[in-house]
Amino acid sequence: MERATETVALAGNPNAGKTTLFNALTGSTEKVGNYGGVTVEVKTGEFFTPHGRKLGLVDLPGCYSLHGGSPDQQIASDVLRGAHAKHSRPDLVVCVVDASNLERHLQLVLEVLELGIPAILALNMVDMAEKSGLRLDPVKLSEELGIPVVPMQANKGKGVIELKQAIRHPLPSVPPLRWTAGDAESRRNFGLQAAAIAARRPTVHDANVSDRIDAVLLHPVFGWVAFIGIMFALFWSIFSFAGIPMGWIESLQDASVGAVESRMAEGDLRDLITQGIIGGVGAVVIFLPQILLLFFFIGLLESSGYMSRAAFLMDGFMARVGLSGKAFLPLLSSYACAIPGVMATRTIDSAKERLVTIFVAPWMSCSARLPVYLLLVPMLLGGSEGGAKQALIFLSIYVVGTLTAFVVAGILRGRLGPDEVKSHFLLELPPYRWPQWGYIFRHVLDRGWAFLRNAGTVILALMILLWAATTYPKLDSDDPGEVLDHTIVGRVSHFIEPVMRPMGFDGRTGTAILTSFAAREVFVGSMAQLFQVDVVDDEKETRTHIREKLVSEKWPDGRPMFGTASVISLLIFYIYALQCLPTSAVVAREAGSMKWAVGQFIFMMLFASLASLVVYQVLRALGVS
Amino acid sequence: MNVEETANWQSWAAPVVVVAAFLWLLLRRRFKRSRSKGCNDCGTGKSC
Repeated sequence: MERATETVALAGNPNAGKTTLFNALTGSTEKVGNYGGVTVEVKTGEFFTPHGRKLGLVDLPGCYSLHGGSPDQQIASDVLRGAHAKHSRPDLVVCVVDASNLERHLQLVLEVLELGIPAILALNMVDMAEKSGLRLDPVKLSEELGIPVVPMQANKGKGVIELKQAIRHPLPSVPPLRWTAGDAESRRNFGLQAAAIAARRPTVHDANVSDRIDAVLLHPVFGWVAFIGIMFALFWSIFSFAGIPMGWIESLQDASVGAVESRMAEGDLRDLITQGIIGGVGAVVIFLPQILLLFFFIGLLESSGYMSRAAFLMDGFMARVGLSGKAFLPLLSSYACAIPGVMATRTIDSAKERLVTIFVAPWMSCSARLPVYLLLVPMLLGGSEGGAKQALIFLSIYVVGTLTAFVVAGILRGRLGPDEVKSHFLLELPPYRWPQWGYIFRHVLDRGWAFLRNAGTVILALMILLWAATTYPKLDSDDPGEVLDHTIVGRVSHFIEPVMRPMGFDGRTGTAILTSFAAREVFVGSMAQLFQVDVVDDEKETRTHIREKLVSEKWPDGRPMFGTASVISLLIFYIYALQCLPTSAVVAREAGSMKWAVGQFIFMMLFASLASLVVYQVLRALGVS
Repeated sequence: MNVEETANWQSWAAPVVVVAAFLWLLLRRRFKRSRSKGCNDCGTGKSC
């Protein structure tokens, strides 16, 4: 096959639509969002010109200037200067600019031209600019800059063919500069002048739809009401809408158990399949609808432009703990998964603020904790699922994690001392847009598939091993308690029980916690197995069955084992414990030190255990069962 | 094979499945490294 010999780089300010254009050119499905800083590292792909020539394409992280301090901006600058270790200097740069903000976006284009690389300007989002009343003149802009200008609407695929035609041999020559190279003032003036010629604004500024929406959503009082309302609606919807598909999964599970039982006689392998595989994996897979909904809503917030407003609202709050609004987006992403959250801290200029954000990011409750919360929260409210009260408790769980993260961030930030170079929080508030449904659905499906694949591989294997640990060595006895005590799990449970008991857990719950270090969601399946929840003849909801079983468990002194105090203690443990090895691996890489990742893991484990212990003991002292 | 006959081989088949699962968990990183893709939001190819 023909190798790509020449490379085209996509450069531009954050949220100019570089990744959307990258996806349109290469047919990829890289993540896009209606806020700056979605891309924090170089992404590569290939595409063909209309003449069949294959070209390499690199999508650079967005930057306002080639002299920026944050790691993602440094990467973009290094690639364009030919100083990056992995990527060679591109042969052509496509500067992607937002047509509505030409004055600001052109500054980077001029910096790129100063580097002496052939360039083409992709004038993106012309529809939005024209809707806001701007009159664009791409021909004049091309004359001013001396490079080809292609008007386009990358999200609809408009202008992509024209852009490909513009990237043809011979590549555009580097124009003579009409400003003094290296002189920021001269460059700025030329940029403003070019923008004024190419995009004429109406003399009277009318408030557009985005301005009118922002008047409410960024209002000092109504803005917060709306923020809390949106977050509450998000969690309530996750609870309410997921019920129906969860019913389908349960029916499928019951049917599978029935099918196996009708084809196999009683025996070890049948138990392994029905209890270990279908029961254990099914207890995890049942949460797929909630996880899909969570990613759908986060995608909706990102794509519509509300994410940036949330960051703007939170900036004042974040400043109190020594962070800026820039740290908010990585933290918010961590609600889905801490790994992209930790990666997104690359947009933060201050190295110290970045380290602090990385440190507390795993305390934003990620989607893997959702199954654990969904199992435990209804136990606080008498067992039934759904309703506003549960949504409120859910919201409180997320608030507890978030507030602790902020308090610890404040303490840590104070200890690290001030920055040598002061950074400023600059946030672009993009216009509200209709969500890009295609991208959202594709992203949701990708995440759902990743969850299922995990359930079908690692979790499946762990469930098989756990089944073995609860079955072997075998004892010939009719007492199920005695049989379990004889097994590996029974022995481990007895061993760890003295440590777990002050936190309100017995040895089996302790063992379930140990198994969930591989993946947090394993906890639910482990509890089902360890407490011998029989899914064979169960026609009710599996989780209701697990809960019923847990509620009926008693300590030797007759007290309920899963009373309010124990359940809250367990919830607190899962809010704070860092039980995710991939996160620790990414933290080690991003923080540039293994020590930081190990320190974070130990600190979070100790914090979780201590918090759990204190909460349980205080609740017991207050007379809570 | 009728349903009753399955009881004969279940007692050894179950441990075989368990050992296979254990070996797979132990060795999967070796197989995985070269073809891991995942969601790759983070660029590491790890599942999350």
